[in-house]
Amino acid sequence: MSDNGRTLHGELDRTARSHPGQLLSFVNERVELRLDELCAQSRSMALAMAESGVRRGDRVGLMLANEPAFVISLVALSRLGACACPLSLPTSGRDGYADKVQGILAAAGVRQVVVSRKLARLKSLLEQALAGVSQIPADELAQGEAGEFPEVSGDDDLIVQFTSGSTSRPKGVRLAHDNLLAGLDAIRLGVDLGRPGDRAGVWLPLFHDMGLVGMLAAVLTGIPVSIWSPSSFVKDPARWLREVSDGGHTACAMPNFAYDLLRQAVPAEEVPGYDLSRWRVAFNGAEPIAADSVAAFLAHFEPAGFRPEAMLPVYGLAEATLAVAFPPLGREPKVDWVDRVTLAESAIAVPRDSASTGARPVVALGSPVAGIEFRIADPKNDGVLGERRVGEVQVQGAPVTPGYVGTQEQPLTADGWLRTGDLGYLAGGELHVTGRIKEMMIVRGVNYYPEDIEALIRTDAEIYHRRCVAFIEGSDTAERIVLVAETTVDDADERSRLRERLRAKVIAETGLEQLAVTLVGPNSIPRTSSGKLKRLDANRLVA
Amino acid sequence: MKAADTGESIAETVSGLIRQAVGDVADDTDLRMIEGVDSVKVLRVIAAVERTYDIELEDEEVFALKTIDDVVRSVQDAVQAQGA
Repeated sequence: MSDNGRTLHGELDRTARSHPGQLLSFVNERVELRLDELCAQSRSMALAMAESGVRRGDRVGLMLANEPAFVISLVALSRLGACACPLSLPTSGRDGYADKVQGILAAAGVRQVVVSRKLARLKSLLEQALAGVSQIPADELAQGEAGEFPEVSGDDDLIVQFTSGSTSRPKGVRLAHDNLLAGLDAIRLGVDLGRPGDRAGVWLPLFHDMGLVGMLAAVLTGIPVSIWSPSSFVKDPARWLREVSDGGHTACAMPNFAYDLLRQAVPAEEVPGYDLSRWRVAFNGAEPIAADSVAAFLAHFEPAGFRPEAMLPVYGLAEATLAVAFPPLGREPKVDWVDRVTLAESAIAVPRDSASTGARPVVALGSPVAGIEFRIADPKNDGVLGERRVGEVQVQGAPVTPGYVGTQEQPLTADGWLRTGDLGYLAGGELHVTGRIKEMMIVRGVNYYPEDIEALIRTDAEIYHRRCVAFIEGSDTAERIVLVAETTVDDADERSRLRERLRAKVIAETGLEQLAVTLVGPNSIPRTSSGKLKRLDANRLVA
Repeated sequence: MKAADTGESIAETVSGLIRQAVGDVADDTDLRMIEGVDSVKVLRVIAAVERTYDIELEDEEVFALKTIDDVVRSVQDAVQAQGA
C-alpha cells in the first residue's frame, strides 16, 4: 500500500487527518461533504470501479457536473492509479457535442465513462456521444467491497485535460500526480492560501482546468470550499455575489467576462449592501484581461469594501497545471501603457503615457509562481528575446505537462520549454500578454478554432467548391470569427438566407455566437501556390 | 382554475417575459439565432421565469430550450409537477 512519491489521494488523506471535518459545500445541491467522508467514499468508489474493470493506467471519462460525484470519482481514480478525463457537459452548441466527445474518447483511448445522474434524461444524446464505451452511472458506484489498492507512483498520469484543442485534433494535456501537486503548491504559496478564515468559492465548471485546479488547491489546503453550478452564477450573478458576501468567502477565481457580469448585475445603489471586504484573492484569468473591465469593477465595488489589491490578474494554462504568473500579493492591478502601432508592427512594447493617443493598456501579470520559469522567445527559432520584445511565452518547471496524449504534435521545444502559443513581453520582471500565435479564439474561457468552423460549413451545397476560410478579427477583448465563403448565388434574398443558414449551423454545432459571415464570388479567396486558401489574406476581402 | 386556463396563462406570462428581453419574436423562433441574443441573455430570461413561478429547471433541460414554445412547455411541466 505504500506509495512511491506524492499522490493526490495520499495528500488528501493527509489533509483529512488534520482537518477531518472540513467541508466541501455543494450550494445548489444543498449537500455538504466532509473531508473524511470524501476519503471514505472515494475508497469505496475505487473498489466499485475496480470491480467494474478499471485498472491502473486506464483513462476513464468523467461526465459529471459540479456535484460530489465529480470530486469523489477523481480521488477514486487516483487511488487506483487510473487517470481521469473530465468531459465538458452538453450546453449550447449541442448539435456538435457528440462528435466532440467521440473525438476526445478516441484520442485518449477511453473505454469507460462515469456519467452523472443529472444527464439521465439526455439518453439519446448520450448514446451518440458515448457510443462504443461503457457508461458507469455515478450513483451506482458507492458500494465497493473490501479490497487492495495498487501502488501508485507520482509520475503516473492522473488527469488528461481536454479543455483546449479543436474538434478535429483534440489536445489531451497529460498531468501526472507530480505535475498536479506541484501546480497546487504554486497556487497555495502564490496567494498564501490557508490563512485563518480563508474560504474558497468555485462556480467554474470542474471539467475546466481553472475550476478543477482551483477547487483542489483549496481542498488540499484544508480550507472550506463552496461549489456552485456554473449556470447559477450566469443566471443570477447578484445572488451569487450575495452568497459570497454573506458566506465570507476570501478566494474566488473567474475569467474577465464574469467580473463584467457581476458589475452589470448589481446596481450602484445596492453595492453598499454587500460586504466584500473579506474577499482577498480575486483571480482574473483564463481569457484576455481588459484593463477597463478591471478598473470598472474596482470602482463599482469599492463601496462594498472590495479592496483593489484583492484583484489578481494572472496568467496560466492547463499545460502548466494552471498557474504560471501571479502578481505580488497586496498590490493593486498594474497597467503598462505601450505604443499600439510599435507593438503590432515591430513587436516591441514601447512605453507611452496613458493619456496619449495610440497608447494601449496591457495588464501586468507578475512574476513566475513557485516551481515555474518562463521566458520570451522568438517563435520561429526559440531564441530568447530581451526586455520589452514581444515573442512567445515559454514555460518550464515541475507543474508542466510531459505532453499531449496520442500522436498530437507535442508542445515542447527542443530544449524542453512548453510552447504556450501566447504572445507577450517582459517588463520589470513581470509578464505581459498581448495576444496569441495560434489561430484560436477564446470566448468565456472556451476555445474556438477557425478550422472547425470551416469544416462545419464547407460541405454546404451553395458554397462554391467547398471554398471558405474562417479567421479571427478584432482586439483581444472584442473578437469574433469571420467566415468568408465563395458562392455563385447572386440574388440578394438568397444570399441573405445563405448567410443566416451558415450562421445558424455554426451556432447550433459549436455555440459560437461571435460570428460574421461574408459571401464573395467564386475564386475570390487568395490561395497559396499549392492551392491552399490563405486565412490571413482573406481578411482583405472583408470591408 | 382549470388546467387549460393555467396552461394558457403560463404561455402568456412566459412569452411576455421573453419578448420583453429579446424583442418581438415568433413563438417558434430559435432565440439564440437572433442577432444580439446570446446564451447569457437566454439564461437570464429563464432565471426570471423561474423566479416568477418559483421553480428550478435542470441545467441539461435549460440548454435544450430553443424557442418560446419550448420554454412554455417546460414551465408548464414544472408547475404541474410542483402542484402534483
